[in-house]
Amino acid sequence: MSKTGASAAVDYDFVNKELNAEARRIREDIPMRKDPGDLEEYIRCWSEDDVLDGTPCKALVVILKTRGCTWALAGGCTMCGYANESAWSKVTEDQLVTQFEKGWSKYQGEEIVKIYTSGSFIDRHEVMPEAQARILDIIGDRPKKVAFESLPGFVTDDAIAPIVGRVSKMEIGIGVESSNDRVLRDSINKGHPFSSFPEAAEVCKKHNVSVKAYLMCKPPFLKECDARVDATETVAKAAPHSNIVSLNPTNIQGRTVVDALHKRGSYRAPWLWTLVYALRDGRPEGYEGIVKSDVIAAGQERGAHNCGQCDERVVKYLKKFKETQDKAWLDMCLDKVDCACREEYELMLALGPLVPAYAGL
Amino acid sequence: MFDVRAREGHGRTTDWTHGDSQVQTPALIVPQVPQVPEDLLGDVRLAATPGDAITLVSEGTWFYPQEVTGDLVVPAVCPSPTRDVQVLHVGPKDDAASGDVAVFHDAGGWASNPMRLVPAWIKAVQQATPGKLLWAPALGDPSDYALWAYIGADLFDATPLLLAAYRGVHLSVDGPVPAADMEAMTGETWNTERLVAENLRAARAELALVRHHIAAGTLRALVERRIYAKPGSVEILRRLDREHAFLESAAPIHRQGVVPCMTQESLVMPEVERFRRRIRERYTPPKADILVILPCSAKKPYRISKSHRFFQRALDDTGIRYRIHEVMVTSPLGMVPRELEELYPARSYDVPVTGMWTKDEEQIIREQVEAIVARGNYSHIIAHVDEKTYNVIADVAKAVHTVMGHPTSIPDCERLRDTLRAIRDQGDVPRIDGRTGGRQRKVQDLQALASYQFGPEAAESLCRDAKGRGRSPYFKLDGEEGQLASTNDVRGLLSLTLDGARRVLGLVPEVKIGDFELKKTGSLFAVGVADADASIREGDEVLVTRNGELVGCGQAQMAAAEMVSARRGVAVNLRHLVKKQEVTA
Repeated sequence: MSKTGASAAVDYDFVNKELNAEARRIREDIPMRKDPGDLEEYIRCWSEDDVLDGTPCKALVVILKTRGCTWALAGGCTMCGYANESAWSKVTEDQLVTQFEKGWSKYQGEEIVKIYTSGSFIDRHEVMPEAQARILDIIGDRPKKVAFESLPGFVTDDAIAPIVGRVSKMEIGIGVESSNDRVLRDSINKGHPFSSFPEAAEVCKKHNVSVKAYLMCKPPFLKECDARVDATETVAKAAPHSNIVSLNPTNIQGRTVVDALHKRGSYRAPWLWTLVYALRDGRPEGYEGIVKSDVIAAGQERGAHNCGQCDERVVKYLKKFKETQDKAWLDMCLDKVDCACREEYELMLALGPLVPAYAGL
Repeated sequence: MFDVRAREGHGRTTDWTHGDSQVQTPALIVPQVPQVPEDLLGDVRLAATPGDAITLVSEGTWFYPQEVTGDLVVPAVCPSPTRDVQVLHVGPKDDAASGDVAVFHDAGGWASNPMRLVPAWIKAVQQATPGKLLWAPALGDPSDYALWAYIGADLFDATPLLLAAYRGVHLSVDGPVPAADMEAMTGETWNTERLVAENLRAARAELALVRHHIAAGTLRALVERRIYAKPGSVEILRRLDREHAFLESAAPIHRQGVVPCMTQESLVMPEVERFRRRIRERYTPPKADILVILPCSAKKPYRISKSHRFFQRALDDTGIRYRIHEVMVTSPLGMVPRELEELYPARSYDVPVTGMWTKDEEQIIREQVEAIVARGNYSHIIAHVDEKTYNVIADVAKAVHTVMGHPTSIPDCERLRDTLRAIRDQGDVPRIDGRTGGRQRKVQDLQALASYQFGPEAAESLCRDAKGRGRSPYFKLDGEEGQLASTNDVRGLLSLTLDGARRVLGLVPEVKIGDFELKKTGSLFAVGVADADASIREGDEVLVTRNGELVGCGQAQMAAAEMVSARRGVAVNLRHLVKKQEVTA
């Protein structure tokens, strides 16, 4: 099967046309569509703490200003706000390389280099193959790992083979989101079924590229009761294909369908309890990889939150679990953080399947 | 199956029967969850499996549906992005549309923004009712049930009550009260368990009260009191009042009982706003050349009040009563012409009297005075009202002011009389004898009433070459062919005879029936209505036609939308039926 461009990333049986139209309509107001700014300037670049093979280390992060995710340009996922940081116009090979060189000038020997775009680094329409090669050649084999992200549809032999030898080790982060195809289509509008992920992971394995699976906890229209089942199942199903499983609670980003629903009172970001349960119940026994949940904007309205009283404590237990991969920390969290909001949470789980409403549920 | 017992606005109270169970709506649906004790579940439940009481069985969510059975299945549907109103049908799985209940999906989400809610709500109500009971999931608490019921919700679920309880909040008719405050007030413990029980109790008590007020015809007044519990409720009512068409479509033309007008919102309640609009847009005053503006009275109709008996005497003593058109200044109706004082809401509003007008009331009065002056053909205007009121209208009606003290005082009534006598003695209008003048005037008053009721064209057609007889409130209108219409003390509107109906066929709203014979039962049932003029309201005088031919006339018992879609209930109380041979002749 030979596919090119958007068709490689998108399986139209898994497109919800209504959701896609809404996502596209909402994205019409993105300011960068009017003024993408200097196309030779990256979006952001910083150095951060990370862990490599169980040892703390440093990572350099460069976010490139590309034309944008091929799928987002056509409408795209309901929760993704990264289209706000896309140029929405052609960015040439030279411009992309110039952007990266500016970021690379800050390199101070970090063990990991992460190259993010607002889409897929190996989408040839977003980052041309020549640009991919030149950027990876600049990095060379000094860092121990180079990480980037892609939709599963772009992870093919044709895309990986030309770049894989240019750096010491590659890791591809793949947006899996959910193992439930109905969620992928009617909640996220992901554009592909779950089965694309194992296929992509197989390609990675063949080329000795490590796989990081991004899962979504509580995408839109899912109630808390759905989110808990969905996240638990997805962790269990994605783990066997992944070296790292990252369960990301939906945070409410501007100019997305999720944002519009939240403004309408029909979306609440997930409870931290849901993350705790999903990690505990989803991580397969004897799994050798890492399962974790890094909570962005924890405790805030726009991020995963509990009642405001116990959020910090729960996040600490999530961190402990990430570091140790020992479920005992999650059990301890449920046992020790004895907050009254758990009863409210349990009530919501009970009401969810019965009441045809999203408000607060 | 449900039978409507009483209506007010879009609100109604019904007997809802399902299987062996019957409940009265508006009713509370309680989700069958472990957090609610068995004895608090009540008569209508929401569960995953069918049960003894009326149980709505939920199919679960779209993403994780469940196989269920039953004839009240709440379907799991694919969610729709941000702006679409979704109305689901609750019923048997293979024939959901035949069920009794419609669901305004995610109503609670819409309600978080009153501006977006109002158009969405109107859309949902129009899609769901009158044929269905409307359930607004996760919406409503004791402080706003009255409002939601008034605008068309029949069923509520306990979700907000339970969530509040688990957040340590008691929901009262006056709004949320933290458990700690309840403890301070009562000296008792208010734990979660008690909050669940108390919130459910408060909800059921308020719904019982809502049902009572619907039956009593005083729901609007309850709504106006309750909305002050939170700004969102006030906002919704004000937006819907401003929208007018939605609330007006369910506002009766005639009803019994008192209409309390106590608040700012009363000024624009649909019946009141419609009265004023009809005065401005279709009312044609009688042919009288002297306009006398009088104060209103607390007692209704005004003519039976003590003050108005004084005024009548003064007017009678002029000998030119037939030249005088009396109009009463009032709030919130603005101006009520004498010949309309017997009809709803003029005959039945109840308003606090302080002798002071607010700016809004002044504006309303001026608008209505201007309209009447513009539509009449008055050569003299007399304002027999206190000074404050005179000042309000002075710039829109060039009037002689006849009150120096109080309108009912003897010197002021004499001044009114003398002013009118002086006009009479100017002699620019030839005098005729009072009896002849009175007779001519009677038919003109009835034509003015008809213009308010049916519009000017129908009024002219009905009253052409006709004669009036009788005394207020019992008038009769006669044509050469026989009696055309009459008024009575109950509704103050014209009731047509068949001869009257023939005169206005095509000009008065029609209810069309299919090809069947009306039996002499006195009632046309909704199921027999093929089509109805969209302007028809409960209490309206309507013609019943078949293939364009008149078959009867009577009084509408429901609004057009309901007549057309409802399968149960009386649509028209038939007063007269055309005999079969007459139709074929």
